[in-house]
Amino acid sequence: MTLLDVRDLSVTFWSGTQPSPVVTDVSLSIGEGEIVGLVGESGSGKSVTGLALMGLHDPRVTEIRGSAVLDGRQLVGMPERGLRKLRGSSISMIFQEPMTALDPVDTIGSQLTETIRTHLRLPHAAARDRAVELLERVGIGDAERRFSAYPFQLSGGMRQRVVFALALACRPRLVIADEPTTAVDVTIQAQLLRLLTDLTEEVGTAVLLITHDLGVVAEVCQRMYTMYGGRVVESGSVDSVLEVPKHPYTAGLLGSIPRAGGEGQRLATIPGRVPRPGSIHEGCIFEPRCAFSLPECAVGEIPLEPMGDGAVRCIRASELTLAGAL
Amino acid sequence: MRILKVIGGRLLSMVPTLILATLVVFALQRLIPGDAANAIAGEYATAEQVALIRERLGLNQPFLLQYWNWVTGAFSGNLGSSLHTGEPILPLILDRLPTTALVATGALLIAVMIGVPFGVWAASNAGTRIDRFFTGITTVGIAVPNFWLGMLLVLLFATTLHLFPATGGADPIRDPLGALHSAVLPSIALGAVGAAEIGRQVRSAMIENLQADFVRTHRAKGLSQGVIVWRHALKNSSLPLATVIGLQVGTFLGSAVAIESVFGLSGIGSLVVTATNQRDYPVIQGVVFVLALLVLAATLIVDIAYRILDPRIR
Amino acid sequence: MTAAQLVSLEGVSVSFRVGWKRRVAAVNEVSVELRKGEIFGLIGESGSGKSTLARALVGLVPISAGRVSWADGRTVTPEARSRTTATQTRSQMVFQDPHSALDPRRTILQSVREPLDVQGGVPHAERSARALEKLELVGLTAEQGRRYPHQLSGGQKQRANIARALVTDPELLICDESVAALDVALQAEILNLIQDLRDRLGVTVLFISHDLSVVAHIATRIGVMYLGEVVEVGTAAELAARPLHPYTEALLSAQPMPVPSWAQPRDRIVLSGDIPSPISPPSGCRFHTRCQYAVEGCSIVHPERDSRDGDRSVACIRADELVLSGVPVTILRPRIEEVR
Repeated sequence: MTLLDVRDLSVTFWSGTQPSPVVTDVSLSIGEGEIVGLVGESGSGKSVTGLALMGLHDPRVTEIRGSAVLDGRQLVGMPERGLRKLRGSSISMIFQEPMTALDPVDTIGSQLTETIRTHLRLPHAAARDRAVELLERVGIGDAERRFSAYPFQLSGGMRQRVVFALALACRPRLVIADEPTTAVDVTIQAQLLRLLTDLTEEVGTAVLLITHDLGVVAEVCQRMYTMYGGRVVESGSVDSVLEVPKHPYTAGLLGSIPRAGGEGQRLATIPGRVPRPGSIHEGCIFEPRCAFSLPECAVGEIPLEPMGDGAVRCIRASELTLAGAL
Repeated sequence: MRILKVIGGRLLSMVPTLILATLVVFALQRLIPGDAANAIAGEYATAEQVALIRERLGLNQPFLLQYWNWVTGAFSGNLGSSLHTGEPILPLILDRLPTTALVATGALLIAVMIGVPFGVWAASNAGTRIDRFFTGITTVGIAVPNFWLGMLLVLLFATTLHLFPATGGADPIRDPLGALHSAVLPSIALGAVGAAEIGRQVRSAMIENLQADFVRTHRAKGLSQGVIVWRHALKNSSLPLATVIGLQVGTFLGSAVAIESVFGLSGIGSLVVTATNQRDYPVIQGVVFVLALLVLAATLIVDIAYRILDPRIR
Repeated sequence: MTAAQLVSLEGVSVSFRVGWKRRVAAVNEVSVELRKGEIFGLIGESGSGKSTLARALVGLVPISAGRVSWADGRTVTPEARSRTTATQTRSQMVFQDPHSALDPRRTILQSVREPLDVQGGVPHAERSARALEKLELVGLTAEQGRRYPHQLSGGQKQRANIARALVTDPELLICDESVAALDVALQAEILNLIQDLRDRLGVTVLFISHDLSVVAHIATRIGVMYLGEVVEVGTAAELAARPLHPYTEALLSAQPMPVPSWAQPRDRIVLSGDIPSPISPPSGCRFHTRCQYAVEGCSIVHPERDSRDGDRSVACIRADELVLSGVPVTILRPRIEEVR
């Protein structure tokens, strides 16, 4: 059952009369209860995509085209009032930086009950009970007492757990997690990832996991999309993409990841720099940095073609044999 | 419990400030040419008579001794007596304090009730023409001297339209309605400028907060813009707001001198003007002492407010 | 001090005052040595004290106990608090954020040259030439040297920072989370660069990171720190294959691996609880509160780091009994590039 169906989503930022197309023709789909990874480096447009699905961009400077259907409802072009009803209840978001994500002058309990009461219309006492339950479920010990704690009294890992609780409080259908564990220590990350998979399994929530870390994707996601320069360049099940990547960029990324046992070896690198977000190109956006590029690659629109259990945006995909993770 | 310790500590630290303030004023007065003895004795007095008066008033004693006598008296509630009329000073001040307090309170209410909503409104529309308009008005507002605005108000509303009295004020205790009526224009004069200051502070704090990560989280929770702006962003802006309110109280009290002159009110501002002309040092000292005390009390209240408003400060 | 040692730390502690009365020991009695020409990886999470230890080595913070002995005879003790410029020219540091480390009002060349201006010693006329030499070494052109920081990318800025750190020809180059703020592809470039520099210049590198994969890749030997103490030391290969300390095992297990599901480690160790605060560390072994192998003695006895065979050492009273799992061989095996 497809929960989220995104077709040709494009996000353009306007400054005055200058357009910056930061996301171009992104299509992806997420099934109920699935955990899907959206992978890319900074400037790839992955976070912008997530925010666009939530409708959190500034409408005065952002133009969003295309289609994004969640549970039968079209998100693109939905008026703010409708989006607000969905936010926090059907679709919620987890942000990267736990230290600044919470309101510093409100207790964590009241921040939780606020979202519960906004969407579920529970009386105060019931909302409080539910909030305490949530805090316990996300692993915050002594939840009754911690209910009245302020964010500054909690560590980064604890705060991120509260952010998880906020996102899952109203049992949403989809959670968009934007780099949810990037800012915490690796042992805390392991805890949080385990928590994310457990919780979403319990509630049946699907997850769009936005990250630059292929290791995280490998650990928790079933399917993944790779983004580069505002476009999806590859998609497929995590296993197949990691074993046999189809796009040179994905292969390049995999080759540049350091691993234990590799000491003394040089890492594969991708020459050049990522394109500036919003810049406009002719031909394949990765072409300037690609080791396999041919003159044909620099002209025309490169379509996303189905291949294997996913798709790839590369005219040479069928000819190339790229090194995978192992 | 800790709050009592904090209050106690602040009260203690008020003492050196009071001493410093009054010492400075004490010293400055001695720099003014002429002295009380001359003023009291009048133009036609002989040098001997002046010297006699000076002796009697204790003006010949060493400076620090005079100050010591005064300050010990002040801290025990005795502000001395007027050199001119011989009246005890504390009751004199207390009698005129309500007038000044009424105008200051009115100004504060006007400043907050206008400044805060406008600041929030401008911040919500940051960068638009509305916002630029707002910034323009507040810039003018800050630049305008409050007594000059007072004079304009008198000209318009009192002299021309006869809506409010031009000068004179009734005693708030004996004639509250009359006092209110005569406090309107002076409160507006002070409050308008205060509103500009408060509005600017609120606007800049709100703009910063509205771009903060936690506001994005609130949005992602599905909260309405109204709730986000008026409940969350404003609460987070309350610290700078409290600060500027505290400063404004100081300004209002200090401007009492000019405002009461413009409007002919009998508050402690005009009291100190008269006393300065007469070189009535004890009265000047007394007024400064009371004013300093009031301003310090305002900052103490602001400090306590900080602790209530921001949990991180406790 | 053997011939191969560059610097040796014995019982070094660095503590700071917190509030009025309390002190927190960010680094607690650390004894470790750095050998000439090696890349020593120092790994730890928040509160481990690794950055503080680095700053103490460079001389940015004074040590409160122990001694630091350098090969050329210099020693640093708590009493000798003078942070001499001599110390600072022999070791240099590259920090995490490439942007804030460079003065936006100076050109890259000027920034790279600055340590020479500060130190003196090198005649005026030569300084720019030296700086240019180092720029070339890190892969930046003279033209890029004339630009300002805002005109360079993050990766290029970090290269400039490395060039600046090398311009005084230090014996020790400390990289404190120097690749943490970079994207993966850029990170790979900088890691390759550091290895090249070590090979060409023979400079010793202390590489600090919270990312075990990065450290395991680049380092010859690794030291693992937890709450201010070094709990295990060994070569990268040994540590990854068979860790001796439960914390090292947990770190290895927590590290996500970008490999297909069938190659993922079977059991992931998820530690419970938060990292304790350095202000009030747990009694006995500092890791015992989160250790799945802890026994009663662990909360009482503070383990010293004992040497095992070869270069290994570990601070755990149960080290001899425990058999801990490292990174699965399937992942460890070096990859071979195959491109048609």
